[in-house]
Amino acid sequence: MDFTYCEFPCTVSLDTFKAYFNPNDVKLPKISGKSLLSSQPGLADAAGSNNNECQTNQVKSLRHLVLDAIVENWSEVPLYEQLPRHEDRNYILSQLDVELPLELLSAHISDDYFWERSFQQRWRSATMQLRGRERPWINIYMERHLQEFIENMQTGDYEPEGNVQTTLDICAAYINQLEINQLQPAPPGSDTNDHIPLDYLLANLPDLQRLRLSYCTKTAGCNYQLGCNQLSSRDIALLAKGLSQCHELRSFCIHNTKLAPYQLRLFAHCLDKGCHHLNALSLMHCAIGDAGIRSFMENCTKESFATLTMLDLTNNRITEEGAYILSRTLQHVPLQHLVLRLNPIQSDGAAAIFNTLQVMPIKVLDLGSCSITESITKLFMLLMCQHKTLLEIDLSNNCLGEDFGKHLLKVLGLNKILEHLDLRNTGMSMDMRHKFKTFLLKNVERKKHEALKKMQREKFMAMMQL
Amino acid sequence: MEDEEDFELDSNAVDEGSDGGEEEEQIELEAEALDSWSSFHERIDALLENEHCEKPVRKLDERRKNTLERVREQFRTAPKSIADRARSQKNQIEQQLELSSTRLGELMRFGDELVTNIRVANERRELDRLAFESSQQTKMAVNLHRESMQTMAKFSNIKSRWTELNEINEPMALWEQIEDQKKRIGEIMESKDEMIAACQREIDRMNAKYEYDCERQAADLSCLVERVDHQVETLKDAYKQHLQMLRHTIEDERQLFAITSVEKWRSFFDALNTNFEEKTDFLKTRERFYAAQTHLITESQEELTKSTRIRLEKECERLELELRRTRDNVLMNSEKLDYNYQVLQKRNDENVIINNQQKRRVARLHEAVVRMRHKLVSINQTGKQTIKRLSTDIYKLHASINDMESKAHATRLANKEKFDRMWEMNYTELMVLVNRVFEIDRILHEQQLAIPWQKVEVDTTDINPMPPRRHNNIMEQFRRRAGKPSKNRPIVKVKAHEPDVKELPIETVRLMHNLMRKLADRGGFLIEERLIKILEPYSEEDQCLVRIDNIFAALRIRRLRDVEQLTRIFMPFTYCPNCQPAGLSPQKCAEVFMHDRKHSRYLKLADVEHHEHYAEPDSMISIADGRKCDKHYLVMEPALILHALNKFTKEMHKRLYLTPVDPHVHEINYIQVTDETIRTFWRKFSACFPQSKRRLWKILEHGLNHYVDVLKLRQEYDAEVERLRLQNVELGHLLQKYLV
Repeated sequence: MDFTYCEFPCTVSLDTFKAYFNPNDVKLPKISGKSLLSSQPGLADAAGSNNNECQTNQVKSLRHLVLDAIVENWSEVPLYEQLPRHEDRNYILSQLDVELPLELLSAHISDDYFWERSFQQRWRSATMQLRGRERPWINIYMERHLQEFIENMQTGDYEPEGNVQTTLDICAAYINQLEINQLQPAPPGSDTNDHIPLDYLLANLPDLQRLRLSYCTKTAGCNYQLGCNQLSSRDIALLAKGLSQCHELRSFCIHNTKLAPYQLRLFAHCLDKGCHHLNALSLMHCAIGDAGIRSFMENCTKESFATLTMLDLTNNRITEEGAYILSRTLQHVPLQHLVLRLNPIQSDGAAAIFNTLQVMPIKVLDLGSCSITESITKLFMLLMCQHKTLLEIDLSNNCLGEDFGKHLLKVLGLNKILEHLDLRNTGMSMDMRHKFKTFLLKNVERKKHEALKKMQREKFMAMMQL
Repeated sequence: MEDEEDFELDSNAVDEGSDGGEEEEQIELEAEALDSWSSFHERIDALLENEHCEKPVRKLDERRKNTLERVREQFRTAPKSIADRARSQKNQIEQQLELSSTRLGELMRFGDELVTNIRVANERRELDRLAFESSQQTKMAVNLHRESMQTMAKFSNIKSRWTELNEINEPMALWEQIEDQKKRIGEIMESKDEMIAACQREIDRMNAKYEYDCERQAADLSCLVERVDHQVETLKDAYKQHLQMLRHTIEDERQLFAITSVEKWRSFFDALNTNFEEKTDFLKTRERFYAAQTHLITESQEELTKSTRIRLEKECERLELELRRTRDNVLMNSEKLDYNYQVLQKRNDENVIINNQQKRRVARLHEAVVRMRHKLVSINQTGKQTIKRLSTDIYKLHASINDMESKAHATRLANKEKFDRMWEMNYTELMVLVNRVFEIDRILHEQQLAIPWQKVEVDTTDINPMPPRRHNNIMEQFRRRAGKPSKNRPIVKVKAHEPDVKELPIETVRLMHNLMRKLADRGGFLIEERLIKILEPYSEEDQCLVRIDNIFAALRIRRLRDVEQLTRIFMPFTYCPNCQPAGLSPQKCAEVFMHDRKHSRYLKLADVEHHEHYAEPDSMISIADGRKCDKHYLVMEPALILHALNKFTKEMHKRLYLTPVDPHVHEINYIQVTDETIRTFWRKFSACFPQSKRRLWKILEHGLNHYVDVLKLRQEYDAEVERLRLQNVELGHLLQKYLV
């Protein structure tokens, strides 16, 4: 097959193409970035020479000349929608310069293929997309663009009416998730530690659903000064203001940033009032402490965080007191995923959490490295016997001992739901852990079998109905 | 530290894998189950082999055998275990898939654990570090605290010394003291330096620890990366291998399927071939058999056909003849039918035409009917109108007839009067003339003839006697002119005789007594209801009286004569209870009724004529009844009272409103004398004098006329003489004059 003359439609996926044609037999137009073979270096080398020869020996058609002219003058005369034929459009998409001004490109082109090409050319790496959950490449591109824009902005460069507004004009419509891994610290010599204000930015992203934020710095170098990894009072006020206008926010994560109790109170207030669809809340490595937990929970009522299903409080210096406060407040939250890793809550705190789990539809519980001792044995056995929704429990790095394992071996047969139980570094032998694993594997297989049976039954019912 | 955590997060995103390779034994539960079944059977068989037993035992053993046999049968026929069935149902590909998924799942889990082990170890270290750091920190804090307490104590000591120093004036002592203070301060400084050094050491330690941690982290990271890479590779390999295996199994399956299907097809084909051969053989034999059969049949058939052919030829000839005949017939018939058909067609055409005509006629008739209906309606309307008009005309004519009648009546009256007057005038004139004739005759006789005059007898009686002169009553005249009867006439009649109760006949009185009572009892409907209520408190006698009075008032019985009339009418309905104990006979009743009926009809037919006769039958009956019983009281059936009353009221009504017609009828014929009588009457006078006398008168007239003429002439001559004398006188005068 010879595809040299007709522009190979970029809407056809590689797999589809491979299913129908053998790549060795077909001649493809050797266009920059458009070749199928670029993804397979070995084949590209083998077939490249042939294709190149073909190209050099042939005179370009008039159509191609015209299209080339269009591409060259595209910055002055952006023609894309006006072209009626899809072949021409494909050609333009494959030939257009990705270095052109972003506002021009974003205004005229929304094709997935072009933006994928732009992304690959700009960052030299393509992120993998989960199969079945593909997102438009323009969104990914714009998110990465905005992320770099924010991460690299010096505090002095911030102009809400100028550069920020222009960037927002280009990007805002495409931003669904934003991941900010660092912020530039204030320049040395200034009085305060203020970072760039995020209120205007956040308030102008109407479709923002996932926000991952860190106020730490990674490239401070000689400019390091005390507190440049922390939020100042102005920062937290502006962040809270911005967050309270992110009405579509589903998932919020702030990590590696020290948070004082008063800041947590502001967080609680703005997240409760502004984000009505909040599903997941992560405050990792934030050194919140019991006081922070208390001040956070003080601002919560029974109705607040009614949609929250995931709470991650990894490494926050929470002790048994904080765990107790947490357990008391979480009774009204339909949590499915709770992480309390690296918090020394000890057995008492774990007991309080277990007590609360009885009224929660929880599925995943992470209590790794929580300084739990074997005094929790009885309560944990009770939990194993009674709880009907737990799928995963992580108890690694707790001093539980052999007796705990023996007791658990007796009880584990009663639980038919649990799938994973992490007991590494808990003072149990490998054999015992292996036994647990086989038990849990049986659970998994039974569930799989039941699901299969159910599917078959449904199929059968559907057939009967037919 | 925090970087480590980040790293962990990254590690989650990377594909996970494991060394794999090692394959665990898969425990096959199903196989175990089968093993157990086979062992069970063996055991049973072993049990069965023990045959050296006694009879009852053997019996028992047989029974047991049987049951065992049954059980075994059941086991054989029973469905296999669920797992067995599932396996038999699944094909190889599915099995391979399942196997691959379990193997790969194990690999994945193993790799996952391997990779996360690093994280766990890291966390462990972090936990330890945290514990250690916190203990170290507390230790340091305690040390610092203690040291600061000590130094503070020393410092306060030094401070207190300074005040003592103030009091010392001796320079040496002061110097010594100051030296001491210096020493002490030096101590404090030393301890502080020590503390600082310890802190420095601590910091150094922490730095070293940090460095170490960093190194270890780097090592961890590299280890992690290595492991991850390794896992990825192994997993990739494993997946590839399994994919290959799967492909192989699919291929195997396909080939197996192909082989089996080819086998199947071949077996089918062979079976088909053999089947076909068998079938052909069978068909051949059958064919042969059928051929023989057909041969036989054809032979017999030929015989049969020969004989039948001869028979049929004969038949054929006969039939031909018949056919010819029938053909002629048919021809005839067909011609006839043709003719008939044509005739019928024509008739049909005619019929059609006629039909159309009829239809048209019907339509026309319909139109006519409609028109007639319209006409009828209009005529009806006009008729109604004319009827109305004519009725009004009739009313008018009736009115005019009445008018005319009244006029005629008036003219008749006027005529009568004129006639009477004329008659009277003529009659008086006649009488005068007759008298004069007589006078003249007498004179003639006496004077002329000198004969004694004898009067001739002439009938001069007046045939139209003058009615007696009436009172000049204007109302009367007016009424008479209007044709109405005068009111006071019957009253005058009634007043003529003054009746009394005692004058009434005895049976009437008796009957009346009875009647009164009955009337008073039964005639309640004639009395006002209020009266009955008012009468309640009074005695029987009074009540009776008042009631009778009221009933009589209602019946308009005012006079004794009316009472008589009442009795007369009631008489036929009475009977004497003494003489006729059975009461009034039904025949009689019927008679009474019938008579009444007839009577009424008679009344209708001729009112006026009947009037003179109506009393006769009644009176006859009553007389008959009265004759029957004189000395007893007469009784009457109460049921008949109303009937009788009805009759009575009818009669009263008749008498009141029908009788007054009579006098009017009489007065119509005012002029009773006819023309003839008048003519004769007058002619009589033409010949009332005898012929002789008339001749005498004629002659006398003649003589007298002659005498008159003579006298006249004499008179003329007398007059001429006179005139001539007068002329003479005058002429004498004239002569004298002239003479004069």
